[in-house]
Amino acid sequence: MATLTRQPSSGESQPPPLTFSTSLFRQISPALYLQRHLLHSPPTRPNGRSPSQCRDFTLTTNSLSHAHGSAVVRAGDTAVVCGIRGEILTVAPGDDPSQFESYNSSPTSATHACGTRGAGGASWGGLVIPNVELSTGCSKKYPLGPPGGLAQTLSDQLHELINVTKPVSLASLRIYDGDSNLSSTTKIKGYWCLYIDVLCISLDGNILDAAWYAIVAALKSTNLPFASWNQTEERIFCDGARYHPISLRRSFPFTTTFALIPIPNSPENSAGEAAILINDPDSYEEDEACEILTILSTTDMGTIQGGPSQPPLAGSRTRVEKIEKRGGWKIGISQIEICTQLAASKAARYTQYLMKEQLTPM
Amino acid sequence: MAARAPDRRRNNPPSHGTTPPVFLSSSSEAVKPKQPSRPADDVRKIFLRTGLISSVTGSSFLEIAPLKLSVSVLGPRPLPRTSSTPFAAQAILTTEVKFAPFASTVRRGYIRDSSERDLGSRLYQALVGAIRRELYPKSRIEVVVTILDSEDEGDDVNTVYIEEGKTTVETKFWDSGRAERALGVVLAGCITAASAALADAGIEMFDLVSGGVATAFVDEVNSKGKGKGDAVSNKLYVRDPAIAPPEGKTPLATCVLGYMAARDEISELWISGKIGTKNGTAEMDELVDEAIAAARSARGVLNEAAKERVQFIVDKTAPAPPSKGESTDIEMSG
Repeated sequence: MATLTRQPSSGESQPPPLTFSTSLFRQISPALYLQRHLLHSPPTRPNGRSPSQCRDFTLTTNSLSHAHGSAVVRAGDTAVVCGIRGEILTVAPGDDPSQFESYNSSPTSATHACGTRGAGGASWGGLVIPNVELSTGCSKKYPLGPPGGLAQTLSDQLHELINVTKPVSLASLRIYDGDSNLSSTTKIKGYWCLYIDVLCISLDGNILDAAWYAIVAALKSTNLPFASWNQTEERIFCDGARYHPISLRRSFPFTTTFALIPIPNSPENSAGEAAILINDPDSYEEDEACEILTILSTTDMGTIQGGPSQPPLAGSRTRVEKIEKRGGWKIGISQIEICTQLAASKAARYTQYLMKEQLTPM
Repeated sequence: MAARAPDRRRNNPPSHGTTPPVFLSSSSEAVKPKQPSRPADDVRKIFLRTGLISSVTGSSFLEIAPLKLSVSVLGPRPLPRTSSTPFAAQAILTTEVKFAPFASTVRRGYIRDSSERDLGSRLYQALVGAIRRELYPKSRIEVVVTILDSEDEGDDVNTVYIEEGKTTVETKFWDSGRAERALGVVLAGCITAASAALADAGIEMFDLVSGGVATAFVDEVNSKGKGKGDAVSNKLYVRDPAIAPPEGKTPLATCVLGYMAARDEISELWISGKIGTKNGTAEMDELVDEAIAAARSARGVLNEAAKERVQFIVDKTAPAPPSKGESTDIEMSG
């Protein structure tokens, strides 16, 4: 057991030092506990990882029977289940179908400059609707009941990620009239509306990465039934025997989240570092972080398939699509560059796992 | 579907509203409900694992064929110290059951509906008697059940059958006891998983409660009034029933119970259907006995899960060899 002890000084008459067990130290002084770990050489986090190391994750797709697509992602002690269900939106005769085919406009947003966030957060959305549920008893910290601050923030962040990355080609969600004599716009009778529900089963930090990865994997596994307009019944029917995947963009971006742990000036801090960046923080580290950096990047695997012998980045191209930083002023350009590289290698791993999972369907 | 006011706390669908997909099928190839292939006195395989969620006191995950649910136990933790909180000499237990939006054929909203509240109160009844609540005064124990997947009551709700080309008939493949059987299997799973999670949380209990469900079926002709006299002899009791009734049978009643095997006590009993009208108690006793037998087999799984967990904790807390322990720990000094 490691103990917190005072360095023995020369005086023999000193009272015995106050010692704590590691677990108690962890509880009563989380900031100090974390800093001591990170200043150790080599720096090791309390969970045993090195600062730049992310958690191992597992991915399972299509394990739910009622969802059109689903994925379960487990990264360390964070576990999320994502289920995607398609429902049908029937276009009324007078409606302009083009209003649905944009990620940035929604029926109510015409009057609001800030898009779907008009009307004080309560508004109608587009065809792809993500929601996160945290009141599943996933952690002690979040009370049950209606979504709290974090759940609402996450839902909104995911909504924004979907709007930015445009993962689904909205034109492919059209449901047509079978009659070929009509013009192409009047043929559109409805749309598939994708409900993306992410349930957090177990929460131990960095839920955004896990949720986004689950959403991407679930979208890839989604199969919708063939739907068409039935003229005699004047409604949309589906064919229960034929299913089709939805058309998605070629390469997916993935998010990688970093946390910055502040290190105060102290005698132990010989290197004089002001803060240490850690990859994939758990909830203990998240509580102490002063800055959170999220990088959304795409890794295009190109034509060369990275085999097990090759490094994961061989033959791949990386593109950063979005960087988001919350709080503080400590992260500099050089650190962002390092993070971008780490994000790229993580995105490459995500992509590889995703392809492996798709090749061996459950 | 007419759109209601948007939920201010969540992302909403387009204001036009959406409808679940409706399938078209000709009656000739109408999907016949799948026949259960196991014998009537056999229960499905149960997968039960505890302690998967590290950030709560106790948790469990249960899987019975399509049914998947996760239980977490929060607490015992102190009641909030407000003037409005009454003094509680015993722990206050709250139970919540929630279906995931994708857990059933028709998408469920996030707001709890009446059937979820009903399941929650039945789960409360099954557990409240088993917990030694007097040991936890002024505190609160929360049991949260999230159902991720279930064998739904209405797998054929959204199918329209076309007969002779023209007429559409919306056949709902429902029989009278369908919803009860579906909810019964879910409730029995909730009870078993919740007591595993309570045990994992280290909450003192008189006994582990396991859930059992059984349904009594009769031949279809009997239910229509003919040969009512033989109804007793033709009765078929099915433990852990599937949604689809056995060939040519029609359900009479479903019994769900929470059973404490070591004490031979029933903490929750829910019988719905027509039973006990004729040969009164005998019929009901038989049904309850079948449900108890189902609960006993669930108890076997529960015991194993509890044992596994205890073994895991013993292995983890056992003092590691000194050489190994020192290399993994970092010394804290200063």
